[in-house]
Amino acid sequence: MRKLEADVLIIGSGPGGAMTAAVLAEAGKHVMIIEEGDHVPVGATEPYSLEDMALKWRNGGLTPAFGPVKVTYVEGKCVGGASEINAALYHPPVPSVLDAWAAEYGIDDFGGAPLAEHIRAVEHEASVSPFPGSPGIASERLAAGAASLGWKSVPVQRFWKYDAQNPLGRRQSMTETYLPRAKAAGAVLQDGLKVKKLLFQGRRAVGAIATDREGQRVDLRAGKVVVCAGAVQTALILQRSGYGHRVGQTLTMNPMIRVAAEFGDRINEPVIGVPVQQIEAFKPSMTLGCSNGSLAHLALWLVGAPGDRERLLAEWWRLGVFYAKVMAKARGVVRNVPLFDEAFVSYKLGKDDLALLGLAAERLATVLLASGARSIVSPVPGAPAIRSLSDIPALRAGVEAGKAQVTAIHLHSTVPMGSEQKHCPADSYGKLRGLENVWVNDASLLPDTPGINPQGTILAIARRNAQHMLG
Amino acid sequence: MAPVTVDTAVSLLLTDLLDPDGRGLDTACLAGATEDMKGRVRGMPRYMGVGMTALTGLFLGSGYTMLPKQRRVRRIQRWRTSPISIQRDFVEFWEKMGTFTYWSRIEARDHHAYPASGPEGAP
Ligand SMILES: Cc1cc2nc3c(=O)[nH]c(=O)nc-3n(C[C@H](O)[C@H](O)[C@H](O)COP(=O)(O)OP(=O)(O)OC[C@H]3O[C@@H](n4cnc5c(N)ncnc54)[C@H](O)[C@@H]3O)c2cc1C
Repeated sequence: MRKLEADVLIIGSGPGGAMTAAVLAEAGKHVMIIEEGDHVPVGATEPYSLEDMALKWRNGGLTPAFGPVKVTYVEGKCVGGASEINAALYHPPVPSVLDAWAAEYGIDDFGGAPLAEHIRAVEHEASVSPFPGSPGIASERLAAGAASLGWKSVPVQRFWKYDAQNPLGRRQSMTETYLPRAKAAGAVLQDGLKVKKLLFQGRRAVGAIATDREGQRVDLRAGKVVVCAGAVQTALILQRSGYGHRVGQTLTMNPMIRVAAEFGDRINEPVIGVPVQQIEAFKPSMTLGCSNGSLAHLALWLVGAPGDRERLLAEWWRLGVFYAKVMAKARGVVRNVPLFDEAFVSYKLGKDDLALLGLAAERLATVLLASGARSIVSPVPGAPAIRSLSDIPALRAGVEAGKAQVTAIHLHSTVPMGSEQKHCPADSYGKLRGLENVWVNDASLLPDTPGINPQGTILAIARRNAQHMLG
Repeated sequence: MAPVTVDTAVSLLLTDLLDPDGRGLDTACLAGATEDMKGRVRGMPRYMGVGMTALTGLFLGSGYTMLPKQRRVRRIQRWRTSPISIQRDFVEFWEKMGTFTYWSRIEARDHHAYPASGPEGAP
């Protein structure tokens, strides 16, 4: 049996794990990062392609969460976690949201002001940058439509680096930023190892058991353990390890609907990636923006729509995909399926959430029509296309009735942090209650959904907590 | 008569879902999508993959491949609108993922034309 040893074992190499590894390794700790997925360098696959999904996405793509309204969600499974597959859109943490969390969950020394230095550091270290020049046709159209309605919109910044040789720039995911830093400071990264459970002696963790790609057992030994496997998998690992404390009972998501829209002329420029324009007017409770519009994704969002799919796809450059995303109140539950060691997620969108999603759908259709869309494919399968304002009430009613296809890419809050012991399995800095040397430091800690694109918030909190671990 | 292979049956199901009117699909892309779909079922969470494999076997095994096109399409439609949710989910999975994989193959085939400028005629 293989054995690996370090001062600190970090499980998962996404934003939470990568940041923790960089901070601890640079402070001289002997760090070992264990990642279930493979290393796939940035640029090796076409983003959002079948190959990309097969290599970097858990379960090859979408996983359903079960409930009266099915919500399909996405997780990354590769070195760098979801930072390698995401749109890299950066939204600064919202100070009022952070302050509200500090108050509600009793998080010590937390809020907009205490986190500001970490936010600035993340923006600098991960090259948060504006899109150079014009953000592209889809963004410009959306901006013009929003302006005509008096709604503020902005081209959001990205974790991206541009230079003269490569004007399109390069994604600054974890494999480009914090993981190389951690390795340069001596951290060891092992990919293709799945942690099954932590091992304890009394209240101390002594390490973990993992399996390699061939299913062989590998023993991991460490003085400290930091679980950073993402909101769903972190909860699973802790459950499999026998840790109770309501872990996995309070999952939050930002549910979203997506629509394909047809314009009279070009809207789609694949070379730009995901267009960066977002409508700010309703943030953080609601965000409207542009989505990936590759041919395969366009085809996907046309499934169930009446009409001639082939005709539409033949002129793909007149089609774009857009989304409306909301900050839902619903709380999901993550359970481990015994024998399979996989997640079963249940998530029940409430009436209020569906009403908010219906309003978001209404606003999205309104702004798309104002942007010049000729027709919008309804996210409600089989429903007629939206061609004028008079079609919008039916769209809203369909979404409110839970008939639309709903997806989620932002998952959080399965191990909320705070001094409020009843609801928070982790203390104000991510240390698990009842254990001497186990921390969580990823999206699981966010006590509620931040509404906005969360990676910036996750990185800033992970930096704060990792520094606190050093004492 | 040659026995019906899994590939033939899956390919027939995809054809009926993606092209119910029989207008024609790209043969190479369909073959690729058939392969990809088997991979997608393998890639599902295993507790679901087991169920999906069984349901697919049930759907395709019950004489489906022997039926004329019209009756196959009608059977899909019955499952699509069935009161039993797993039957609806079955059609939804094959239709959505089949569409995605088939058009991914088309996208790869036409890649030279797809990026910045778009195919001929695109503005
Ligand atoms: C498609 C998509 C688009 C997104 N777009 C944006 C965006 O534009 N902007 C933004 O801010 N956010 C975006 N997000 C969200 C953002 O990427 C995530 O919130 C963030 O990556 C979460 O970080 P994390 O460290 O908590 O977990 P993850 O990124 O999920 O990383 C966890 C890692 O742990 C590994 N792991 C899990 N279980 C185990 C185990 N048992 N053993 C070993 N390793 C394990 C996983 O393989 C994974 O690599 C997007 C997410 C997705 C999926």
